[in-house]
Amino acid sequence: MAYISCPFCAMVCDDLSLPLHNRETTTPQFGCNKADQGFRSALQATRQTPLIDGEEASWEAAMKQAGSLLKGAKHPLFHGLAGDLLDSRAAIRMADHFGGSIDHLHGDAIARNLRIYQQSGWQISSMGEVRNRADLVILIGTAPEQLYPRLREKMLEGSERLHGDVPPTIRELGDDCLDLLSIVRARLAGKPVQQDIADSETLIGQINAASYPVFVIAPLPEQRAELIVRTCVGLVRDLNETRRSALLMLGAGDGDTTAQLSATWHNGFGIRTCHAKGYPEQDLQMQAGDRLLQSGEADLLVWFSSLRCDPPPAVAQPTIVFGHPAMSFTDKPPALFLPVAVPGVHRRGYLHRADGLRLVPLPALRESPLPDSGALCDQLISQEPRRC
Amino acid sequence: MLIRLKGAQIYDPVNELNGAPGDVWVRDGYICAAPENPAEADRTIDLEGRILMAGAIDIHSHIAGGNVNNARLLLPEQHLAEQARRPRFPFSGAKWSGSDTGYRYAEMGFTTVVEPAVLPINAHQAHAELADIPIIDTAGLAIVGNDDFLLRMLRDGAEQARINDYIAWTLHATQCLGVKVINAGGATAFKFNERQLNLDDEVPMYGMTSRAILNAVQRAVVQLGIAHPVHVHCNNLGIPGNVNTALDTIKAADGLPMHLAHVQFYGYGDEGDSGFSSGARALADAVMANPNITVDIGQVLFGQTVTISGDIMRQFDARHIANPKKWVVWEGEDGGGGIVPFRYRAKNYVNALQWAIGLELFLLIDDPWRVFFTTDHPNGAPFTAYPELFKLLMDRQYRNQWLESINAKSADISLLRHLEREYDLNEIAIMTRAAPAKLLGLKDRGHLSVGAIADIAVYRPQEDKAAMFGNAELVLKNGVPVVENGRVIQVIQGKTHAVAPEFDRGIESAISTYFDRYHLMKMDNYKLDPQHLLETVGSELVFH
Repeated sequence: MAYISCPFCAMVCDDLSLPLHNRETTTPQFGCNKADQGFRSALQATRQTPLIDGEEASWEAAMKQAGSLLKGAKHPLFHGLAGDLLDSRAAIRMADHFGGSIDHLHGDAIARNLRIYQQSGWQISSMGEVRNRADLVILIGTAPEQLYPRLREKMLEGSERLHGDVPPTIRELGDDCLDLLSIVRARLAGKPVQQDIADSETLIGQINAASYPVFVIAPLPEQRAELIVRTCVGLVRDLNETRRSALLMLGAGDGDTTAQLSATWHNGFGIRTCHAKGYPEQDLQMQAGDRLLQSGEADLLVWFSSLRCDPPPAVAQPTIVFGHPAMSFTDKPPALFLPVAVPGVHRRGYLHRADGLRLVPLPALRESPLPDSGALCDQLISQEPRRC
Repeated sequence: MLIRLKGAQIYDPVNELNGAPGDVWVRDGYICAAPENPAEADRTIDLEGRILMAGAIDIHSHIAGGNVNNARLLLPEQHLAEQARRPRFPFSGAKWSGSDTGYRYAEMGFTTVVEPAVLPINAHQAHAELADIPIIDTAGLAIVGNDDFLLRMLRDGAEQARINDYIAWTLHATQCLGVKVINAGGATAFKFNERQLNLDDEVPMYGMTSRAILNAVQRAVVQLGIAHPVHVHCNNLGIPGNVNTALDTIKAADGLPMHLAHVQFYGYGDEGDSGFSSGARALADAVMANPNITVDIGQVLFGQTVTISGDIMRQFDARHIANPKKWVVWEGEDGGGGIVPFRYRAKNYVNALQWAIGLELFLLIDDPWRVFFTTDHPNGAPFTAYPELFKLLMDRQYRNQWLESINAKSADISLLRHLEREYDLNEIAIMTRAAPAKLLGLKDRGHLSVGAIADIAVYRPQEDKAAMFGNAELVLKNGVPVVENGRVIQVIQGKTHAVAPEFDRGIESAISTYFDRYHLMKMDNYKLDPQHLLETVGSELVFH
């Protein structure tokens, strides 16, 4: 049986099989809401023609218009990047060519984690290691099952493991756990605490009893995230002086890991990097996409979203969308909408699994006339010579 | 297109040309015989007085994959851009990007580079990165020796033939040119909280030694007929006294081909007041006495760099000497590793001695066919420091100048002051061209025979060998001029080289079942599909 890969959540499961009927794909039912919704939306999408200001236009006219907008922009922002490796590559090449900035839909979380990483580093595990070796999973974050519907089935509840048959103990801490984690860290380090929490004794007992406790961190509310992640980084570091422990950051999906890693090998830095001076400059605050749009520093928004149907943010700047063919606009349509192939459905591609260790191949499920964003970007780059 | 490269001094050890002036002819990407009528040339390039060699080949440079990319992310301060990019050369202002890697290697006359540490689960990303490195050809070596499937086979007493099938399958799955063993069993032992593993220590849970793993992989490589010998990162890297581990590993090879990588990092004795001394003499003697052994050096050069390795034990152990003080350690399926930034300082006793040990090894191993030119980029130094290393090898006076300025104690105890040898151009051509091509089984390069790929580097002779090798005057890749006067003038797409040894496909049934039991992925999706790679990231694979 040939298996397909699902690009619609951060886990990028590759064990789905799509029912076929008379060579036509039927309504998918994978037992996973995210996969069901993602594949259904892409398979049923019919838009194949671009829109200029909401009106259907030829590809020739649309590409001419795109070139004109890009050529006229002083500081284009290439944003969204809810796509796969080929989408991300296209966006970063455009940023280099047209002298713009690059960010991701989940740029705030990526930048926050990167800041912590760049200041101290960390000790991390992979999804497979947690599945096979963790005997205590401390699950942190908001409703992880909604973001990763198969998290438990695939990673946390398997009883057939490399060196045993007992699934890990799972300790769910939600997202309001900073005090608990801080106290646990202090107590494990033998430091006094002003006020203890009853739960700390239990958690310390669990950690002390475990051979490989792993702190699995799902997305967190922004106001709590930084301190929680920093505390976990420190806790893991302390534990490893004599024992073993690790972090696992799961991200939010929508190509976040792929965008960050592929941008890094292209420009050296990753997202929130500006190419306006002709060389890459990363600034995790100043190059935030939303800030560039609200301040007016960016004068053109180029939005990449081949995996999600949501429209781009409503902004004052003219907007070019390389978008999912089922994307619709209730408010003002963008200056230009270019429907592109959905990776893993209309074309082949690659997407990183949440831990970044594995780049999962995405097959094409059906033939599609939709172009991929990479080919469109190549065309725009070749049709508009670089200014400097 | 017929190109005549006219009148250069040719250094081509395979054809025993040692500086004799002559012409090299190139047609459609390959070196061809001179036509009867020289006027047939579509283009003649006058190279009188210049030095011409085949394009250089680097057998061990970390240029792609998770560790490399995460090191970029960890250390933005190390590669801040200084110059705007040049028009028509994407990302040419982006230091330490994939593009920069291709441009800088080409500008030094390198045309093929091997990434020596592709963790199989990360192979897709490694190949995607390799595909984004312009101009040069690339290849990867797949890491084995900490993979649970292999360790189970060994524990269960599998026949060598089945081990061979598995190693061949791994090469197919990862599309690599050979295999590498990093501290065999070490990453696995670390997962059981062991912090050191000697060659004869047992790996927890598996009941076999590091030596047994290494031997099994080595035999598989030999029996499968893979040209490149098993590429070995020894146990106990970086530890004083570890020259004994290297010597034991050479003995363990038992006469079969084995390549020891970055031997500088295990050329350490433990004598003297500081408990750290040079083991170069003993190691060099052992290499010279065992013709089955090849080595690359992993030369240390002074300055800021970052160490990256799949040797998680070593990297974890080194966390306290990180400079700047930040480090990353990671564990993943069948491996692990770490990223530890480091600054090698000339006045530091240990660092200065590391620098000297590397050079001692280069100069004591008197067979350029078996000692290879590397800095283990970026571990000993970035590959961009290669010109400095050429100068150190070719200019004794320059070495002696350095000996005056490094840590005095290190300079005093080093043999370096007494080593008069200077590499000549023929030896450089062997070490960086002819020998690596032979070691990797890349028969179509590393020499200038008719039919070879026209990868050619031309240098302007200079007293200052760093200046000479730092900027090639002309470089042809596949017969296309890509560098002139030390600058890239044209970007072409390189290819990636791999091997595809025969094996019994029956093993896939067991591997597939194993994946279904223990992995989060399907075996078929774990394997790289050359057609998929070509259609998506543009990676063209060439099989040997």
